[in-house]
Amino acid sequence: MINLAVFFGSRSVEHEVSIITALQTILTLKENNNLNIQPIYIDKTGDWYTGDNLLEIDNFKNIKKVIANSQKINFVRENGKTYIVKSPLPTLRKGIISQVDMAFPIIHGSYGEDGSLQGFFEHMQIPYIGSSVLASATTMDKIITKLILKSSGVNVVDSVWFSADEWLNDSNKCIKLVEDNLDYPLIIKPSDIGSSIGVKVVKSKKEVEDAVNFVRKFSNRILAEKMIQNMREINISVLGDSEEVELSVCEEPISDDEFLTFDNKYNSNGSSTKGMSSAKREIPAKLTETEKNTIETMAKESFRALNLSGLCRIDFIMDTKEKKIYVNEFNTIPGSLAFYLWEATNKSFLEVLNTLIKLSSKKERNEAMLIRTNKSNILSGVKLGGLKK
Amino acid sequence: MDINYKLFTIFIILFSYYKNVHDLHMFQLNSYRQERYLKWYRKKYSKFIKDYDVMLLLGSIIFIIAYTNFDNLIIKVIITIFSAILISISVFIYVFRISNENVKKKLVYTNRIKRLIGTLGIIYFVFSVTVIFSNNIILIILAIILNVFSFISILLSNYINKPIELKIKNKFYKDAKNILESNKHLTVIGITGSYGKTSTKNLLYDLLKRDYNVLITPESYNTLYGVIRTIREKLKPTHDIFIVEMGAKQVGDIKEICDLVNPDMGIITSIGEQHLETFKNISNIIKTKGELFEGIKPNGKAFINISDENIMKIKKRSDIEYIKYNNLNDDIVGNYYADNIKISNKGTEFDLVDKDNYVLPVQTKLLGKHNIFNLVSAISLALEVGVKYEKINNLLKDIEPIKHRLSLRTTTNRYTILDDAFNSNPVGSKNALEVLKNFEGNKKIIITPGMIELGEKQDILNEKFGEYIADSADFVILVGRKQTLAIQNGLKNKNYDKNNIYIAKDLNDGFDKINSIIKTGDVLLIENDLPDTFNE
Repeated sequence: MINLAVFFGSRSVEHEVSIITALQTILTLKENNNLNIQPIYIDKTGDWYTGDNLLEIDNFKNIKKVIANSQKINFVRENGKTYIVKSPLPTLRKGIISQVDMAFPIIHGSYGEDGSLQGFFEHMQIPYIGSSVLASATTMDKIITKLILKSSGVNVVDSVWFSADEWLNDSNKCIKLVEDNLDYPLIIKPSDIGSSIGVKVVKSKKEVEDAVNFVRKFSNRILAEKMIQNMREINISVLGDSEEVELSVCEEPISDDEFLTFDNKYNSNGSSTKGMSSAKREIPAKLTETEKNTIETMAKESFRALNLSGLCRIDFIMDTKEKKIYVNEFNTIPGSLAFYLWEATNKSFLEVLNTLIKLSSKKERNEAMLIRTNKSNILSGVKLGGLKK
Repeated sequence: MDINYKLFTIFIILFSYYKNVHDLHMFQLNSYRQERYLKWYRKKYSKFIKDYDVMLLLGSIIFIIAYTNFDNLIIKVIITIFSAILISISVFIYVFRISNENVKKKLVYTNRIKRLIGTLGIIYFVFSVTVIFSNNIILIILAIILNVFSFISILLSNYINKPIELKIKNKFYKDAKNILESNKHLTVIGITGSYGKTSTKNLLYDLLKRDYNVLITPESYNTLYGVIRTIREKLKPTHDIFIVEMGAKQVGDIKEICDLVNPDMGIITSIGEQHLETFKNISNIIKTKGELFEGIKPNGKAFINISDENIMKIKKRSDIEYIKYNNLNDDIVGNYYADNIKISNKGTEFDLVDKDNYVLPVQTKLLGKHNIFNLVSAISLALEVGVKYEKINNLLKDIEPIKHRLSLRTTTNRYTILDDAFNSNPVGSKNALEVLKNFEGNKKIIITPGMIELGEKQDILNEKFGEYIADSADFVILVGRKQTLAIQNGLKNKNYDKNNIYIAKDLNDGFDKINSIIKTGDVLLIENDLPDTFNE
């Protein structure tokens, strides 16, 4: 039995979405008899909890109550193993709840999808599912992602950026930068927030100031982007690592519903999902062969350039007038883990999850083969008397 | 009995206790095996009488005689001082001896050692209390005996602790069994054999580690308790494959390990006459190694080296699959075999042919018959586990030979060095010469001081070695005139051209000679125990 800790919630604007995705996932993971699943709920203040009542979606209608009925926990490392222990520690007993062999972060946005939690796992030496610290942190920031993709020849929408400090010091300079490079209407958005929260469409110079001041609430880095007028959104999911990747079919979201509601959740009896309303998304998206190939090539190349691994949903923008395709954004932990895309590709949610577990083990193995420490103690031969003066 | 008597006895007891800590260390190094410990003890102390014991006995005898025969206080005091000096010398010599002993492994204060120390403490405490309250002269004699033969207390406390240790061992065994049983998707591969098992294990690990989470039993953990320890400390639920090396010294050893781990696959690398002193005869060895094939789960796979007639004597089972592979250059053909072996400065190339006559060209930096043979068995195992054919060569790229054990170096001036400097056994030397003989190169040169530390057969073996050299080298450099006489005789037996032999005074002289004759494309074999200073 692999002790798999599933993390969800956290200090993120997508806290609730994360709960839904995680519970959908746990429901499916239960079909794998080789797993012992430990739900780890991180509340909006950053405290950690576990307990069986975290497995019922209805309980989350009253978060206070859920927390009251859960066990607060911490993580400790001992003798090369990692354990979940009660917090505060009981005085006389060890307080161990379970061992952790692998972690599955299912948190959208900040403190979960951005590399910070992954960094914690690295330090606790727990193998974890999904992208590494570097790839998670990179794709979280739209500015950095664009810089990397540009240099590896992947199409991205024209944009400029400035920091909140630069704006406060000299807003006119920032406005000039925007106007020199982009035409109205344009989009102002925060650089590093997971969902479409905080995105403003700006039609004239007058609106820039309000928009930036609004966006500043969400991020210290502000991105101004060309607005594609006749656009279609196309999303694709990629699964794999640096050795080989699989691609799902493409979808075209029609409403701006970011995730599947829990009512049309994944059925654990293996039949295809009901209630996946086609009014909301077109799967597979209607694309010409050329368009599809372009999207697939771009998806693979970005996956490689950004050193992604595990699962990812990549969102594209198609300019139907200019016949151009741009990579728009990455979700290394997408809503509902994009399972509906894989089902349409004839890969069940369970198969996707099992692949992710395998990939995580593989990633850990490959890391373990790298040389990370000096065998000898460099300090042993140094005169250290000079340090304290 | 006099108070002095009692103090003297208690001092002797304390000294014994101090000695026992060191004895425990030795007991630990002999892996807590009584018979092994006693054997070691006899070997170590049979040759000389321990000087510190002589001092102690002298001091004690003088003390006892003085106290039983003299009543004069002054004489008593003088003699007491004299015997105290003798005993102090004894303690001093002992402490000096053990602090200067070169022990590779320090005493590890394991729980078992702590328990033994506890038991010893209790024994000596009871003994001391008895001394205080009793006036029997026997006690002092007993204390002296226990001091001189300090191992007696070790054996005694070990005997007292036996039931506890057994309980603990059983608990560990159950614990390991539970860990294994909770990991349902684990594939267990058992490896045993008289030689080649460790190399095969490591090669197999290198071939599997990219595609699977693999755990191997570490070096020298090949007993039942080593395997239990590996499982308890290292086996995680995320492991896919567990490779267990199984060592055996007596009948039943392998069965014990199989009963615990229930292998899905097993491989016996070879069966030869190892550990004959414990096995008594070869059929017992065959029987013991065969326990691995007996222990494989139904529908499992047994990898069988059909060139090894001893392995072929093992009784076949109908409920497991036998994957046959065979030794190099053998006429019988198994499911996997090596063909077209070529040796060059790139390493070894050969074709691995499988039962469907699929040919996989293999390239490796490893050299030498035994290495290639181990590689054939490791590759066939890896393929059967599920590694893809096309991945094998990539996986082999990272496998490096061990330094100075038939490792290959190409120098800047473009000749090739075959470095086998650490080798010291006849089989290995012959292997190295075979590699040299088949090596694709111009002139083949060997430099060697000959084999040493081979006991009475040394000269005969070196003469044979000389004869083999005559068959494989174009130029011979022998280091040291006297010590290479036997090799010179071997070369003479084969009428080797004297002009192609150079007898060097020392290593530097030898290398000067090499530098003056060696050309591009030549191959130099550095063979046998060359001093460590040769390390460029």
